[in-house]
Amino acid sequence: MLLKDEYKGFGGLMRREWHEILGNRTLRLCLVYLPLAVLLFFTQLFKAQQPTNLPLAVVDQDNSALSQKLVRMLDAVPELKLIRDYSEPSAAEAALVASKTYGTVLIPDGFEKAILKGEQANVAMYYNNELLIPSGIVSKAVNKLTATMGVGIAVKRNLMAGDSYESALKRAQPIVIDSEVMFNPTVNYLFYLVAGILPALLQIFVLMVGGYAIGRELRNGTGKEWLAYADNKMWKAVLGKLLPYALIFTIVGLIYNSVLFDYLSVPMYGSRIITESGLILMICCYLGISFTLIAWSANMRFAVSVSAILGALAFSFSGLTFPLSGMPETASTISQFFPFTHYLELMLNQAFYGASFVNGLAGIALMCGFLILPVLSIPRMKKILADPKYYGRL
Amino acid sequence: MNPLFEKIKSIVYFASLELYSIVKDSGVVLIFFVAPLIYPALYSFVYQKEALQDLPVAVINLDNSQTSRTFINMLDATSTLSVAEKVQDFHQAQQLFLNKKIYGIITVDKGFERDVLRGEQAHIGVYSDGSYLMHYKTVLTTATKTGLTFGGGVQAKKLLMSGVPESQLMAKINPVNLVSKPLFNASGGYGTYLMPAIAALVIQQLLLIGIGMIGGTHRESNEGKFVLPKVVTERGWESWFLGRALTYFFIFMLASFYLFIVIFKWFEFPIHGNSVDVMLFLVPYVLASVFLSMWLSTYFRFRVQSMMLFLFSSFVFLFVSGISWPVEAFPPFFKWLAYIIPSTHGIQGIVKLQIFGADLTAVQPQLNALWTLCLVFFSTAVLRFWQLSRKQELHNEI
Repeated sequence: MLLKDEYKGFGGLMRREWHEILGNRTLRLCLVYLPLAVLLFFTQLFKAQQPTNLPLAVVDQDNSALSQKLVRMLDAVPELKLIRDYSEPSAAEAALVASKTYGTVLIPDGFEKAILKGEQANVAMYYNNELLIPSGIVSKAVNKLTATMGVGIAVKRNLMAGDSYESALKRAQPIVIDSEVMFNPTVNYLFYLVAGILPALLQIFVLMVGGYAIGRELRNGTGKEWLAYADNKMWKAVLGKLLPYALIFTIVGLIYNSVLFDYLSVPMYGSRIITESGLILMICCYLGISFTLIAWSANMRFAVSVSAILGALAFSFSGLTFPLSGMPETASTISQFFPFTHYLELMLNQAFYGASFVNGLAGIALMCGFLILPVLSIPRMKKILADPKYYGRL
Repeated sequence: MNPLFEKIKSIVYFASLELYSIVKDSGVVLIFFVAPLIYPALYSFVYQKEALQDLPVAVINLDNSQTSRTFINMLDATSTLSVAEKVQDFHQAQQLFLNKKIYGIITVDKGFERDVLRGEQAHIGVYSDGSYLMHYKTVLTTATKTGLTFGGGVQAKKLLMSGVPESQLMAKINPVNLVSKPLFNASGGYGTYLMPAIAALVIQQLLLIGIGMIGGTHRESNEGKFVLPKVVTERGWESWFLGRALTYFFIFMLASFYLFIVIFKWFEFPIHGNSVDVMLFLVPYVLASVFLSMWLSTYFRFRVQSMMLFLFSSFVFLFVSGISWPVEAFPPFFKWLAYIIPSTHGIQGIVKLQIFGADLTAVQPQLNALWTLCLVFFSTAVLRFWQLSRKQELHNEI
């Protein structure tokens, strides 16, 4: 075993990793280039914040002044883009199946007649509920518009019956819903999705890099060498190795949060310091998980595969898209074993809900629990590093 | 001996050789066989309940009258919301909210009953959480619907009292009636929404990572060089290339059958398409993914490299497929990027076939795109393998 002086000691161990990073393109990709690329990707993809101009077919079989008025009103809604190419409901349905439109509004014959006679007029809407986000926006917009038109007609009738405008409105609309959206008032998808996706991607990169950085000592059979540089002290070896990665990922994570909170103006009602600490802690937790996986599997490839499964599932289990409250109990329990779930909750609590500093500290304490895993794995790691029978496994 | 027969024999030989080495490599087995089995089952499990039921909300009823209690009982009776807490002030409700005990707040102001009886406009306040989309949607739509139904009841009572005949009630209350029909995924189930996309994406991603791992392992065990084994140079690299592709193709057609036919039936997702169309559609999708993966696999230098570099891309590919964020909101560059990824067309086509119940003619644009990508990636992969074999021949001559 040939030891280089420059790699000895704590600083030397860090230098050793730095040289590895400089010599390994894949590491650099996972540490810096890809994390920054996905930042650019997702902030650009969701730039619109709220989708507009969603295609909606309208089939006007009535073709009257009133039905045309409804069509014009629909056309004025910014969320919608009316497609008037279909004269038959069947053609509109085919367009819906072909995903050319998100829905169809059908104004049947006799629409105007019914209104003029004081009867209830029907309008039909078919929408593609498989595509949740656009269909939700389209159906909400059409619902709101027809309700507005209905109230308008009722008010007009009451006016004709001799009401004052005020009482005409009151009679037409006895209950008013005052909707107040808390925390993300414009229901901005950029705030909601990108704030969750970015740390989810970060934990994937941390797991991949962590598994490789530690696992390579076994694969390359340099375990003894690594320990020797650290004066045979496992804790020194681990800290010296992982600190450079933790630092680089911290910088990347701080850039993520800065883009979110400073540049994109995602609200931050709580403590920014608690949020950033949570982020750094999440990075450390995942490096610890990599360490634990390598220690007990003694195989880089296997550990990285398991990390891949963990990393890919974290987002689904975090409850950001489909809430924990709707999952089977086992699933919401499993979700507690992902550090990402806890970071996401901490971040959302601080940023959107303005939770207290103490609430944040409790979250931090919870995440610290994950650090027990690597500490308990130190003796095992030391054992396998010194044993050449674990070396070179693919 | 017939040269064509000889060729086919070589292809079959390499196909079985590849299958043998796949089965022997536990890392590849994990990706090719274990992952397709457990991934979709796990996701289906998480999204099993499909929609939110009895989401707890808090009610602040400052009126505390018969009328307001009727409204609150109506709210509690819905399948989506349940009135978990009744509190007296907003601060208390907010605390419950922050502690995740409730997911929305409904307020009824003082004087609610008086306003209703006098014919003044009575107000109901709905506070929903815009930072969790599913909670926001559930609270807002249920409360709005209940409020409108309640208001309709109030109007009906008054109209009846003023002598309006019952047959005219609906026309007075709601002159324009919107008959709203959600199609394909009527209840808005989350599993039905996401599973077809995940299943389609999994095929491409596992191929990219798995074949990438085979390529990386090859170089890692040859000191970073791409060395064609002797038997390959003897029997021809093109047979080797085609034989391997054949093996991957068969494995993933089997996996597809399991994913789209077995799992979908098992977890009772609404399937409207027919199985033959689905499998026919998947032929170009699997082929395009295989050739793309084989091409990229030649660049990997170590075993886990493909996993490190491709894992994150699942997120990217899922979002550019347009299944979540609508294509209309994409900046132009993303539409172009989406086009060259097989999973974009794979996801769109599978959703049309399986969920919308479309036939193969409705997925013609996706089929065209997939066959085009197939041809493109086949050519790039063949060129790359040809280049590598040429390099080796030149090297051997020296």
